Amino acid sequence: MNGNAEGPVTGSTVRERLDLNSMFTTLLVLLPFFCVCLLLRMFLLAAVFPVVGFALLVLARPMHRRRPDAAFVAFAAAGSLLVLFLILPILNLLLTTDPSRIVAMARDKEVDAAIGITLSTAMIATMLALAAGVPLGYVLAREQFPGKPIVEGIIDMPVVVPHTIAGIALLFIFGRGGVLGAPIHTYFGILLTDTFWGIVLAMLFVSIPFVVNLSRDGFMSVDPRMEYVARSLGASPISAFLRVTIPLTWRSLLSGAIMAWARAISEFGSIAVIAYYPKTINTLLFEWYNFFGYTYTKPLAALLLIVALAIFIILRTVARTKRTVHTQFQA
Amino acid sequence: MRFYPCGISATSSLIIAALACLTGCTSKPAPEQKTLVIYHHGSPTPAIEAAEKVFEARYPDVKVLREKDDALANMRKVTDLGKLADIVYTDDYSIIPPVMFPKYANFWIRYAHDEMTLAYAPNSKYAAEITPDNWYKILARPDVKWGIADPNAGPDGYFSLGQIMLSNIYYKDPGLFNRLVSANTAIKVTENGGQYVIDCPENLNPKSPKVVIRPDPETLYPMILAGEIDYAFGYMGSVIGEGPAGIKTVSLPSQINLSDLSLVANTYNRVTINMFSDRPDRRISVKLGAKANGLTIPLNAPNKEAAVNFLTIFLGATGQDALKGVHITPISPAETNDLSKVPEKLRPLLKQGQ
Amino acid sequence: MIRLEGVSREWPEFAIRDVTLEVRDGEYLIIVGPTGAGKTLLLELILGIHHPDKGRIFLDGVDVTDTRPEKRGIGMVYQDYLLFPHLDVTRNMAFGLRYQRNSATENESRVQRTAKLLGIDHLLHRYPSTMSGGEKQRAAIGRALVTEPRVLLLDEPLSALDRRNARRLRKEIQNLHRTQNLTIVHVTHDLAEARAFGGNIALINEGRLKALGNAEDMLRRPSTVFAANFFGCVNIFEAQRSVGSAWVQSGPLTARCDGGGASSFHIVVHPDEVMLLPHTVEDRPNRLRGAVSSLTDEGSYVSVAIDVDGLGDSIVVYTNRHTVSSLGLAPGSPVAADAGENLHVVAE
Repeated sequence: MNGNAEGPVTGSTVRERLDLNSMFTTLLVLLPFFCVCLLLRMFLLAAVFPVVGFALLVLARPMHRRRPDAAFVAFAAAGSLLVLFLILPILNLLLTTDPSRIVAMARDKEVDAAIGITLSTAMIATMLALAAGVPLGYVLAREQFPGKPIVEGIIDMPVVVPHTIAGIALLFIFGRGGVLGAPIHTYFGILLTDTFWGIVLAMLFVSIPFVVNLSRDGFMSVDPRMEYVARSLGASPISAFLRVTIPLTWRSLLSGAIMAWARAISEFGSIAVIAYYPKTINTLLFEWYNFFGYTYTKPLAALLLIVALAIFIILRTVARTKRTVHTQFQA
Repeated sequence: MRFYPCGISATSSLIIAALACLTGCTSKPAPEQKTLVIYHHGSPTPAIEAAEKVFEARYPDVKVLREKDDALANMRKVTDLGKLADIVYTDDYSIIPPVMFPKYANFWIRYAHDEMTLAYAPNSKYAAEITPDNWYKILARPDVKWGIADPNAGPDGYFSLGQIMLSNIYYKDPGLFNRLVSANTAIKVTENGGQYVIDCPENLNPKSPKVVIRPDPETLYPMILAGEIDYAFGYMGSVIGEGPAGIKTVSLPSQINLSDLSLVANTYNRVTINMFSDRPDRRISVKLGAKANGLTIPLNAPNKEAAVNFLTIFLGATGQDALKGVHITPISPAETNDLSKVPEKLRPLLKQGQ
Repeated sequence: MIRLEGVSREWPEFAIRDVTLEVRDGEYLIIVGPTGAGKTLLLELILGIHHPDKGRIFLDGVDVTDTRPEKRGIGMVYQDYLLFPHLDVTRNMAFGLRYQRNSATENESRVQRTAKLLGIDHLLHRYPSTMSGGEKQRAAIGRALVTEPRVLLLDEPLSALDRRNARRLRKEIQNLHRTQNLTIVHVTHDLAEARAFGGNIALINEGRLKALGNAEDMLRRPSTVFAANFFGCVNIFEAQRSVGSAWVQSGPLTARCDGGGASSFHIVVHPDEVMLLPHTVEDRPNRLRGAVSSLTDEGSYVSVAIDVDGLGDSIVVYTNRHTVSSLGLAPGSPVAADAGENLHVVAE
């Protein structure tokens, strides 16, 4: 085991890597939470942060004493302001809502039904988006063909179309009188409006771009010659894709799925046009807000945020890479 | 423990923080500039624009800022979000007291009445046959699909329900409401000595594909053009103000179209609608009244003087002519619930209503 | 074993043009050429990743032009190893066995055998990210060998290794070739590597096959000026042929040439085939006289450049230090050099 063209690499754990760089970054990212606690007058909670910070500083003493990398720390500082910008409105919403009301909402039959509908349609829409979008992403990554920029532009479009217009446009195709919807209704008796599958359709429309783009970028990071080698060993193209390409890119695909799912959950405008019933969480929020106002509706929004946040954290934890010094795979 | 101060990172953080503060500061408008903030919805827009032109010519130092949105959403901006407006318009004057009294407003002005109607397009089924006398029969036909706004979301919806209910009485067809509404949704009506109570539970459960429910009538009109539904309940103001081209309407008799103020007490008031009827903590009860557009000057309006000046123009000939131009009938003189609460300058233009 | 007939294919930036060559069963063919000449693409055409626009490819007498790569039984090893990073060495090597119908014991023994053969049996549970270049290259070769392919294609297998590991691996590949009875096609841009393997050499430039033959022929008797330059001939002198003569001449050098329809002639003199003599010797045909223009000690030999009257360029001669000192060579000193009798002529 000698280091030649590429030397051997040893992994190291988080504990060993607690140098000043990481420590500063952690402190700066925690800074927004400290600010929020102060703003909300939760002084006791806020006091935790200076204590933690001091503890970290003391802990770092026996470890590497290298001076913190100035550029790195500046990036972390800018990053902490960004996190602050994002977290302040949301934390304010969560922390100023009565927790007992959130629990009461969670027990409400209508709310449960709406959450169930929202989560299941989003999940199915994400699955369908993966089924259709991943192969497309693969083709876009591997093939060149005339008109490719046009195809890629079309795929980016659903992100920019205003939601209500998207819903109406979908209705003109898939509705009872639609180009495709009419024959489907006449011959199969199937109607998509105001059904579970109508919601899935609307969600699919807005979430496909994320799956396609992130998959394509993931596939482009895999050397096609690795697939050639698999072929030379006897693998069919599908087998090479499943045994070589996917294991190397599943994190990108998961990222695409997470974004697609998030986008599907947050969709309202086009769903309201195609399928107002069965009710999704956003439809409930809309209905309640007009009559009962912000204070009444906040716990519902808080509930949705908490559920979504939990799912995000779980998914991102699954996708976490092992922390080695070189986290990139080297062939 | 020594560590060197990181000059670059400290400086850049300070710069970023300073920039953040600066961008915050520059958003305040200069105090000298006077503004008139108007929140309104779709149908009176042409009239408001006409009044705005005259206003700006007469008072050039005041800038008019308009925000167009759903009526209820506009009111919520004032009551819930702490935003400031000088005039708030709504498409149903009767919704102002429950939402804005007493903290945010203490009077309403009823300036025009609208009429409920049935919207359709040439491609709707039986479009050639439909008349003010047979519309309810056509809607009951098995292959006809129609839409209504969500009664639990606002007056557009519950007024339409009220209209259907009044049709029971007018056409002397006691099963009409049940046939059209109760058979297809979870909405129920009970009668008690000539008074009718419509109960809308939280989950309206449109169990048959015949009836679709949408947040507002404006969503329903494009669905007619797309062939998704054949007919939709709406009101003239929204069809003309926001309906896409190609939507036609059926003129309904005044006993059911909620346009006649004289019929309020003995006809319209016979119907009460309960929203969220199965939720005791959220139930709202509304007595059916005339469909009349309303407005108010909120109590915390920053520029009441300009508001009064604007309304003098709007409630006068300029506004009224523009309203007639879009088939909205102005109430002349406009009415208010309490003359004593209205700013002095406006009182001569108004009449006490009820 | 492998036969290419008129194989051509166009890409936006490269092309393979009309390549016809044959590799016999058990042969070791080296394909050389400047970088960018399309050598890797040629290998991928043989493997079947790309389909030729024109021409046919035969394996063991069977036309495989339209056969898919996974069915051809050809192993491929790339210059940057391309081991599957998510699998350890054992699973990398066993990857291709899933597509064969062997028993589990057979598979296991194959992997063990091949790993032992390549000296990596102590690395079987390592992951590629923790291995050195030489180890990875061995594993990549092992992965290809485990499936017992008929043909092994090597794309610059030694280029990423340092000298010592490259030499070691070269010996092992040669050993494998002998003991496993493989047909190997090996691509490289390194001339010394090509010569060290000792098999046949094919020269590819700009997508075309420029020359084919054994190393000795290619180096000693190149058929084109391009080949002569590529193979490192340093003494290439333009020559003229007098009409009707069988001889060409370049200054004091003459050589016999049979090239019938050729229009340009060059005489090639190999620096290690020239003998240096004291300038006082008598004249003989192809004995040059001139003065030393430079002396360079290259370590194991000395390179002497001599300016000769009548010769367009100075001639380079390789000699040893003993000769240099006994002849008293120094820049400017006179010297004679015997180029020999049978000089090679490149006629095009």
